Amino acid sequence: MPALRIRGGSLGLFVYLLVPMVALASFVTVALIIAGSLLDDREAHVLMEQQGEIVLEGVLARVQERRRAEEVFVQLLAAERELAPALETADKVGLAQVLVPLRARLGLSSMVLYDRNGQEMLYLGSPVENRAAAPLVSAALSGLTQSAMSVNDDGLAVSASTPLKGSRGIQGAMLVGAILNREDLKEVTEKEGVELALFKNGRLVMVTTEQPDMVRLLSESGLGREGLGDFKRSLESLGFGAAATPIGDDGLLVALVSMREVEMAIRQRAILMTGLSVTLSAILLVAGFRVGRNTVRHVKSVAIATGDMVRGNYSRRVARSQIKELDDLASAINELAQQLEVQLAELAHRAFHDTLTNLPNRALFTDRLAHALARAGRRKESVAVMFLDLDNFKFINDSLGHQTGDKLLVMIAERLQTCLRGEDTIARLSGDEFTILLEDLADVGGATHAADRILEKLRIPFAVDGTEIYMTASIGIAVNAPHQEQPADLLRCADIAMYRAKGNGKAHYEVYDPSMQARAIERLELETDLRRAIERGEFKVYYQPVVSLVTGEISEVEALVRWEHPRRGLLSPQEFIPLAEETGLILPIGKWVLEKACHQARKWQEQYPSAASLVISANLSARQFQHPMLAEEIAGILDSAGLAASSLELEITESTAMESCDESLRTLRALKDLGVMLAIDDFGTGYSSFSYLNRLPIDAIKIDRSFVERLGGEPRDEAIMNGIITLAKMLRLVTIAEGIETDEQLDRTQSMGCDMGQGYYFSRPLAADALEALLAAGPSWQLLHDVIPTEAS
Amino acid sequence: MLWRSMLLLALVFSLPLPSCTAGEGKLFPGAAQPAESAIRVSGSGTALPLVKKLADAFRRQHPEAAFEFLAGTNSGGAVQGLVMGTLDLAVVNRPLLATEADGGLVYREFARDAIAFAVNLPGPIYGLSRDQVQEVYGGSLVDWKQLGGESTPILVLDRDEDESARKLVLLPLLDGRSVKARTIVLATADDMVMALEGTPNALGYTSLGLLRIRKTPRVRVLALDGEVPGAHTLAQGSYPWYLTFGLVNRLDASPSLRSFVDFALGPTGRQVLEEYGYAGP
Repeated sequence: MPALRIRGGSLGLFVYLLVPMVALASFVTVALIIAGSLLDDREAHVLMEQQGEIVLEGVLARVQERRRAEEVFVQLLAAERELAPALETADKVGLAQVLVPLRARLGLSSMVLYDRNGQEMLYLGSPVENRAAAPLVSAALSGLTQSAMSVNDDGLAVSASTPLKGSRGIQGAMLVGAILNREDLKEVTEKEGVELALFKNGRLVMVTTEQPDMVRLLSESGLGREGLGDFKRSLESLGFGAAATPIGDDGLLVALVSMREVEMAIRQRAILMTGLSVTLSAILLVAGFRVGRNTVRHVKSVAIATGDMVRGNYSRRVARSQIKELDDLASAINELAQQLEVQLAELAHRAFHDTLTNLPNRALFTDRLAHALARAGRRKESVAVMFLDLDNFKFINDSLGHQTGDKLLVMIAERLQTCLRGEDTIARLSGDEFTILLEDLADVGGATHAADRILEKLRIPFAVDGTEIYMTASIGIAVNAPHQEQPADLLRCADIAMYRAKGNGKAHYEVYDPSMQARAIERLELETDLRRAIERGEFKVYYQPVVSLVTGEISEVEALVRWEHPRRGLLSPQEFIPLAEETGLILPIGKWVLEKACHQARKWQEQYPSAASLVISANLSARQFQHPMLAEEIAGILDSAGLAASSLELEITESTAMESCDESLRTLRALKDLGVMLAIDDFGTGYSSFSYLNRLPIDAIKIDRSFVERLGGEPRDEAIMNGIITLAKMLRLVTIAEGIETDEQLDRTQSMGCDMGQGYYFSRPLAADALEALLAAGPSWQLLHDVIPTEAS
Repeated sequence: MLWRSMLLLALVFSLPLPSCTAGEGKLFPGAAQPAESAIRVSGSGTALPLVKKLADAFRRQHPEAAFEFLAGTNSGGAVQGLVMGTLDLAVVNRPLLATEADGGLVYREFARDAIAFAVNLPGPIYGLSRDQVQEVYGGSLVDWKQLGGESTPILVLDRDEDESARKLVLLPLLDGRSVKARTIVLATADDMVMALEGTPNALGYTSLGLLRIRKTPRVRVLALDGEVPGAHTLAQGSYPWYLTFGLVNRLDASPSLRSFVDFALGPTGRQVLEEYGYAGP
């Protein structure tokens, strides 16, 4: 086509004049196409080269990605703590101990360590070419992390180096290399329908095709940076076109594009074009005038849109035109803009998303929350934040490995998304913490409904690597208060509520209310006080008698801990044991109570003949019970107190005994082997599985006070208690009724055949000296004797 | 008229050209959906590559058969998967435990895999005696000079304590002595093979079959007390250091799985085994 030169005139004028010429030109085009298409060949070449270049760009992008990954790798590796000292002492075995497993794991093709003078200390994998390595090593020794690519005999090599820092500055350098070999490149070529060849200094190193003619031509070509033109001509005979890009100092990557595919497409087009061109030419004449006008408009709009893009609006697109040349221009501009937009979007995406789950990260979440809060403030709507923390996730990582943990997190993220509306934002804050933003809520009900849905969906087990994993989560929900516009505040509230949910037994949700904040602070204070209380000896042991319902004598004494808080006064176990359990402080406290009680019991046994066989019972918390050295510790305590093991009764709750059955069973057996007595505390509040109870080596059950309280009410309640006692007797277990407060309760428990009783009816828990007075007063319980003959006869 | 012709134009220009997508990067490629009746296989990392080879051979005879290999577990995990129904075939490198055996599972031995000592080339030795193994892992033989090579430390490779190759071969060879050498501990059988292939001056022990399957030109397999490990010496019983691989399936195995197990135990399976230095049960 004749070139258009426009000097200082209006395009419009030219276009109007050119309409007849355009029509003429189209006829010429038709003639040319029919004649045999010189144009097609040229077009085919252009297309081939374009495709070759696109593939090369793709390969290079992969290499660049690999380079960045390599730089990160090498820096992480260099941070291994054992490396620098081993390097300073030239301890090759020590170096190998750290690096050999890492190299195998990461699949790096080579890994080399250099000392301070650039001397090779240790190399792993395929040898690294000195010429490629030298500049990287000297850069690393001067403190830089660098990467480079080159061609070597195995393929496209990507290497990175970094300094190794010791206590006295840079101690050496580490170089790692990875190779994109024939298989890696083949992956690209198979997808693109293009073959690749690698040259080094004019020598063919690798080629993805197996076609013998092609391989011979390539290996004889001696292709260097120059001479591509000649090479292309010789390729044409084999039906291929080529594009090339230099790699490193002496390498060349060549993409070979088969002409056949391109040609076929062109042929098809030519046949259709021939048929259509006649029609088109006629249409052009009729429509020429309008086309001309459109052309001018389009060029103007292209200019405006392009200007807009240059100013940074990459999402702006140029309007397509019905005229091919203009349309090509428009689509080229659009493609450019699209690439820029995609790249920018990718960068932005990476900065604001979690790489593992692809969910928004903390930054993006906070930003969205801020906007949502501002919007809600204007519209007087509610915004809720859910803080979700997986229960016992650490256990998954510890037992199944981080890889499994990561896979599980991805699955959980996917499942969470299915529980939410499209407009809700779900983010991964860190580790196993997720946050969810719910907007446009009428009230808190919308949020709790969503939380219910999440908890329910999580109940379906996750299948990871052939293992079914059951996950639960604790969720905290916070709804914004009017004028509350700080995202951080709302997040903190949800966090506090989540902790509350954890504290209340996990696997459910809690909605934040301001009292939680106060409680959280109070809890923190209490925890500090609790730590101090151990040092200051603020704990006291109280003793409550357990009375035989047959003889009326004190047969046991239960040791109960109280805390004499300097400001709050005497605190009962319920007020601080859960916290002590959670913080682990229960271990020293529990041990202290046991020691104190055992010594006291021994003293009473010696002092009062009537109490010679007195049994002291003490509670074991779940945390104490799970302590691996529990049996040894208790043996030590008994030993130092001089108390017979059979004089100690340890009480654990049903749920503690049921948790991880096999482990519990082992612990209980170890305790039983010592000779101590074992009792299940608060019996009837947990699972109450008698078949399981039968397997446990226990001596007694303490029936929960709630059963005793209900005596005299519903006959059904009484039947349950009666059943428990009957079954316990069949299992030869001693039964102790807790919380006896009235004559009637005593009467009923006694008539059911319960062995022992405990409660305010007999005595509240007493300080040591008060109980001592009771023991001194006499062995039998006066009140009981009064009761039994009259009521039970 | 005009818009219709434009439509034709658009059609013409949108004719298919060779695809031009370069490096499309999906962040989360969805898990490939296996064919409906694919046999789901997992198990010991040492034994799985052999089963893949057997599966390839099987598919040449039965192109309709499909397999799905799941990595990242071990013998015990795979048996558990079998019981739970998430797997169809477990590949184990030890017999079933008493606790596993009562779940309606069928266990069949199908291969012996020699555990061979090996060095990275050009190590100076072609064989080790049992005494030398004890000295190397006991920590008294530490330099290649002591074995006739140049003076440089022997990099001794070892596996985790629980690994079958260690429990069933190295420890019996050490005869009650403990490992005192400063060893390099590798987490998987593949890591061991890669470390042997890529660590100059290294000496270690690993599955002979895996060495062959992974093609390791830089590794020399050593004779032990004069016996060269291989299909022949294994079958004869003159090389007694090996692991026994088994295939485990549920009683209700599909016909295609049954036919695969029969194939693995049959003559063609045996050929595949011997090609890589394994012996039959």
